[in-house]
Amino acid sequence: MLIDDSPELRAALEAVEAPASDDPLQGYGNAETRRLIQSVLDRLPARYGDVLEWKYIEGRSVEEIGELLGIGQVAAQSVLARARTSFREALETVFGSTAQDILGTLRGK
Amino acid sequence: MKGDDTSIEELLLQVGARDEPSAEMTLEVQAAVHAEWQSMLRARRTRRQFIAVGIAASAVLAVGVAFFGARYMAPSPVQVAQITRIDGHLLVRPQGQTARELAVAQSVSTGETIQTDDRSRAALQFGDQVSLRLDQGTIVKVASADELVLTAGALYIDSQAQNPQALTVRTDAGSVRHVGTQYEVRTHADDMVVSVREGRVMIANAAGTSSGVAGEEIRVTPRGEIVRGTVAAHDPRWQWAASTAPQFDINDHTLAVFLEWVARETGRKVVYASSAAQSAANGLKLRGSIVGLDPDTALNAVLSTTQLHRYQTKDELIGIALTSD
Repeated sequence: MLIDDSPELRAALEAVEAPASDDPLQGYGNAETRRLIQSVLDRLPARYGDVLEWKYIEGRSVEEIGELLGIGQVAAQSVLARARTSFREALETVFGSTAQDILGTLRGK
Repeated sequence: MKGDDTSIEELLLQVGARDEPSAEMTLEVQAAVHAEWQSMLRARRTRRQFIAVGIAASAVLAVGVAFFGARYMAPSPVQVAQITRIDGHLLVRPQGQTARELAVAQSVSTGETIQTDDRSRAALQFGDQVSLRLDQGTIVKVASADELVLTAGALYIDSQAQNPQALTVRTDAGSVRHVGTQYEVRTHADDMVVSVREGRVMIANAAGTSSGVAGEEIRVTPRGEIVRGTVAAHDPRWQWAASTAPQFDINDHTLAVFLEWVARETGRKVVYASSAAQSAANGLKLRGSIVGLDPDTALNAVLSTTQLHRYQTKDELIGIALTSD
């Protein structure tokens, strides 16, 4: 499921969307940016937030993620791909920036 | 695409794992954020939206400050648990005092340490939603209303999945928090072994934070090493917790409710052979007593008085059928 599949999620994220001219990243401290990103993870559909944490923070393999979700490796790879897409969309909706830009800002402060 | 994946990975590593808030805090935060969103939706979609996000974030911070402030500003002992079952002896040692023996229905307060000997087990109702079981040779201090310090033995925690109550178990090797789950924390030499029967737990140690999900056994060493294994929900190792379950009063409960209790205590699921069998279980009110019986023995005893029986299934299921099926 992507963000556009969920009108409620879309509405919620659009509600916190800031005008580009405000450049939200400049207004947030690193701690606040991190907390908002974690909040975005919390609001992703299904278990996308968990899947992204398992893969990129805990370093679990796709096979392990499949076992945790009770699905096969191919299906887990598909879930992970959708989770990445959903996360990228959500970041751009909330921050108006790509993951790369947000990362650069975090490192630059 | 590969570059995007790399940036997502690096971004998430920068951000770190999400901290699992208590259910109460989650609800408050969600309410605060929702209220802000509602307010913002009514307002013009201009700069004010960005300002309101700041207000929402401040609300989150304020709730967090209030939560943790309240947690650490209550030094007086508070009754937080009630003894629901003792098989053997349960001792309590109030801070700075000598130990005394506890009895069923007595309370345990913050600051007290409770312990079982090598031949005793006990169960406590911790708050409204958490059933806490102490295995043999367990020593645990009730540090606060939402924190236990385990220094020996093992604890089994059964927290209802809906609106779970926050509770942290600390050991020398790390700490565990749950999100509506059934799990065991066992000390083994200096290691902490967390077995998750249902739901999800968050484990924190010197090396960081990680999660454990149903079916996992996670061994954490004091040096922060984590080794993962598996454990089925109906594995015999949970037997001690089921045998220490608080007594279930079957009177005026339906057979279906009783079956769900047995299923939860034994890590299995109830399946019915037919809709007629399910209807019968839903409509049958029980009377009598199963005091002194473990869940499996109680199940056989209760079913023998009904028109239903167990049929052969996989180990993880409890199959129920009408005798006439």
